Amino acid sequence: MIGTLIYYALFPLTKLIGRLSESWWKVHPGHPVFINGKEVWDGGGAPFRRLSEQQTALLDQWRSTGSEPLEKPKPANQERGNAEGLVEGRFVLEREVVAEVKKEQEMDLLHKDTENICSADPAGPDPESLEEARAFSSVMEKDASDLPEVKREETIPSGNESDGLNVLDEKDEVEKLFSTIEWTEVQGAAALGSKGGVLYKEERRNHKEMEETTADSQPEEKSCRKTGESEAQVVEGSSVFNLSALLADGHAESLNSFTQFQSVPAGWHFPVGLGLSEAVCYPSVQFPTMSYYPAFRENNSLEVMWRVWEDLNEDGDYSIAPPTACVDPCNKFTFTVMSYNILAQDLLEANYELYLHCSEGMLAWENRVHAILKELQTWEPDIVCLQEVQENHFLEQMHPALIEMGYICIYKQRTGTKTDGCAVCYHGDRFIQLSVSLLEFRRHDCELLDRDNVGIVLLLQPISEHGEGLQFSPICVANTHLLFNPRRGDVKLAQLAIVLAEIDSVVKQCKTKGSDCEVILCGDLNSLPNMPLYQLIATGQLYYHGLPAWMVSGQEDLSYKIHHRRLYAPLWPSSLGISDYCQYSSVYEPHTKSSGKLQYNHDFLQQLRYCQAACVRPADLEFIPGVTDNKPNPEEKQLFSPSRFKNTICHGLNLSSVYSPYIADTERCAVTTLHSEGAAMVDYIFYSTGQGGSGVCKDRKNGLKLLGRLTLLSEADLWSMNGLPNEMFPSDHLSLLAKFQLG
Amino acid sequence: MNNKFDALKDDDSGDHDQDNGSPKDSEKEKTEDEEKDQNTTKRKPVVPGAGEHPLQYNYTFWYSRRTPGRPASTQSYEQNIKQIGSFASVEQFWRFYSHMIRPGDLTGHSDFHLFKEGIKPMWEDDANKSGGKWIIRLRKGLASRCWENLILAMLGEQFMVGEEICGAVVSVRFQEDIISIWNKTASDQATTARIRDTLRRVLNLPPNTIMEYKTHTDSIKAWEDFHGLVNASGGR
Repeated sequence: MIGTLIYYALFPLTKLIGRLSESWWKVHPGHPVFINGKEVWDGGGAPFRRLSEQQTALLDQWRSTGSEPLEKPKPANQERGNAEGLVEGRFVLEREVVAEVKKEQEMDLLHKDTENICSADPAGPDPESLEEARAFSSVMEKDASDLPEVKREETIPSGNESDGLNVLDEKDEVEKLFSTIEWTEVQGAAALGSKGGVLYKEERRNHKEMEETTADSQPEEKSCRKTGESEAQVVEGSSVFNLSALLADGHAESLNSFTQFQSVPAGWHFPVGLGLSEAVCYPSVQFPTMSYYPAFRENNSLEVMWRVWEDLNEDGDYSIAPPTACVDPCNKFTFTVMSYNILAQDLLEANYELYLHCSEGMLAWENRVHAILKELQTWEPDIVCLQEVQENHFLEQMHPALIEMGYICIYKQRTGTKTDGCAVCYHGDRFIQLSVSLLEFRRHDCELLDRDNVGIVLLLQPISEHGEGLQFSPICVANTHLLFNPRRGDVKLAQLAIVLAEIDSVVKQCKTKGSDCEVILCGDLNSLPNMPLYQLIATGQLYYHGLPAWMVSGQEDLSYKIHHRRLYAPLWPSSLGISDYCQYSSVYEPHTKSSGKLQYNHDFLQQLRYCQAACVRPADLEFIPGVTDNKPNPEEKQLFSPSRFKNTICHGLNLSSVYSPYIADTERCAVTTLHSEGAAMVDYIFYSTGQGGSGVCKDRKNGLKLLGRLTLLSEADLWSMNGLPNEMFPSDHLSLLAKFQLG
Repeated sequence: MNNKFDALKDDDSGDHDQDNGSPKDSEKEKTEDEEKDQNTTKRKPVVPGAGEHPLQYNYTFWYSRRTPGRPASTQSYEQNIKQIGSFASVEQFWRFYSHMIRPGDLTGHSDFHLFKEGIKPMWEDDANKSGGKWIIRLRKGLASRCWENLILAMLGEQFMVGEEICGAVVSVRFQEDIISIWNKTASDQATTARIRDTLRRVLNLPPNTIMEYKTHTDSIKAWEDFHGLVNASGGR
């Protein structure tokens, strides 16, 4: 609600201010043009123009005259869509400006700082940058003439000197708007305090990294320690100063996306892939309503306008201290994980009717693979779990590209005649592979498991960037794509049990060696949130007795059917070798652990219950009527078997989902897949939280900490972009991306 | 000397500690000596048979039952508790277990005890004296399954608390059944927490099940207070 108000109120205002500032800059070319680190890094990207004190003073004047009641002018629709990116940046700038007016001392400090940056910057000292900026605006003019309709709004401020007059003509409106901004300022502050807070944090870090990059002239800077150092310098300024500089970056970023969108002449070059934290600071996060308007078409990089990085680091108090991960880089390991069903081309073509809403071009593999790889380059996840990876496409196109990007890949094709499969790729400089298991769910001796789905379970050892002697826990990464068939929840559960049993076995092997093991389970589970299959993963157990099989995944409501396949014990035959605890029954075959203990699990012990030796009455057993006069009866076997009593399956991994079923602060469902027959959340990243015990065990240190995630979108959001796949999202699934901290 | 035993036998308060199947009397340690001799001579040391699956520890089944009606005043707890047999392997365990009645089918005021060989199911045993137990009270109908799950977890070393586990008891009472698991060191909170968590997992308990930890010293004190026998025990 507030977001909407702010949006409607501020949009025209920011547009005007944008024009104003640009035209002002045109009229007074003598004003200093400040270039922050970003442009240099870009090799001469979009110059950023900051309002001078003179300007802000004028604005201040306007503000003081503005006393008319609050009003919500309706923005012109056609411009709105086109200008989204810029408007966002300017909106932030505008608020920033107001803050500056109030605090001139900080302003001075800011100037000083930006000058410092400029002078420290070998590539772009002030005068040169100014020229670049001019060149830039002429470029914009040129492009604008090529694409007059789309860029009209941009053309006006950059090309037309008389525009300033136009703005003045509209002064009445401006006054109204300023009365609005006074109001908005308060609201905005509140909104920023709550929703936007995280955003600022991210931006702040972003800023630091960029500064660092400037100093080092390196295209990418991932080292936490270095960032931390540069942070230390920056923190010496006041917090207001930091905020300002950061917002400036946000603005610059928006401009960059804009310039990238322009057909840039040769000689300009832009970074191939934005680092995670660089790319995520788009201010548009504050305005969920923005996403209902179509954005630029031709630009893949603008996906970040729609899907926003959400920082969840609850104790990362960025406004006071540097990010936790950077303060103490030596005992933390942060990494990102992506799960992505990229829609195999064969499956797309086999189910063409699901994609009739898409243009031919959007469905062409060549276009899609380009966009998929671009998405990977944008985010550079440390671990990528892909589903529906078609083998020939993987071998010919994706694998070489992934290797180029520094990934080591494991691929498992589905069984039978299926052409696609799963892949897990990890950055070779961040992890060492300890073990790999390729899972096939088809079992020839089991009627239930007659489907061709597969999974991959990897054990990865994080490589410590800083520590000699510091050893992080290994991470077990499982990736799978469960059966789609909405009616066969029984099969899905059995397939999932195989994955869980394999994870359990990997974790146990780690524990045998004396180390903890964290777990990431991700993939396309073809099941909806909070439905039984999900419950099994998230709560650790599922009571299934009599459950209709379709309900397990909840993909479709088949309750209208007369006949339901229902779940009864045993869910899977014991020949599968997996217990109701989703563990391999044979794991507990007598083995001597490091402790020297002979361990047997329940199921193993039960197997021996009616063995020959056990059915003979012990010679020394005194006969006490009513106490020791029982006779072994193999037929009572069922009596105490788990199936008879429990009708429950469970697992011992403490797993939580990265994503909640709803878009934050709304009641709209978040979806991970969409095609013409529906939309739902079926992809997940689950991670081990290590909350094994309560109370006493509270201070256990293991478990992964979720630091952030790339937000999902609602079905309406996606349909406003013509559904999936579309120009921004090349699959009928969205990528899931999460950042974790270990240690 | 036999006061406590007598009192115990007279006790009808079904939900006191001794009902968990472990009435105590320090006195009996002396009187027991003959019986101990008797047991050791009677029973050969148990070893796993060829090809059997050895257990980490040998265990002994015990059975106790309060005599219906007025118990003979001369009977001691010690006399009232019976060794059923010891075993060293999974197969041997099943031999005994399969020939025993399920706890849920026991009649009267009875207990099964399963303790490591050499540890008596008594508070005063050296292994138990600074220990305690987790107590789970069960509505009727659950005891057989829970008991089986509990002892299988214990025999299979699922509790992962080193040597801490002493044994387990199932107590059949009039309106409820009680299962408990005893460990050596009541003050070791990490151990007791781990035991509790394992219990929750292996017993598959209803979510609202109440679990209570009680040290044996508290049990003894409560028992003595209840029976007004502080002086008697003080004189031991």
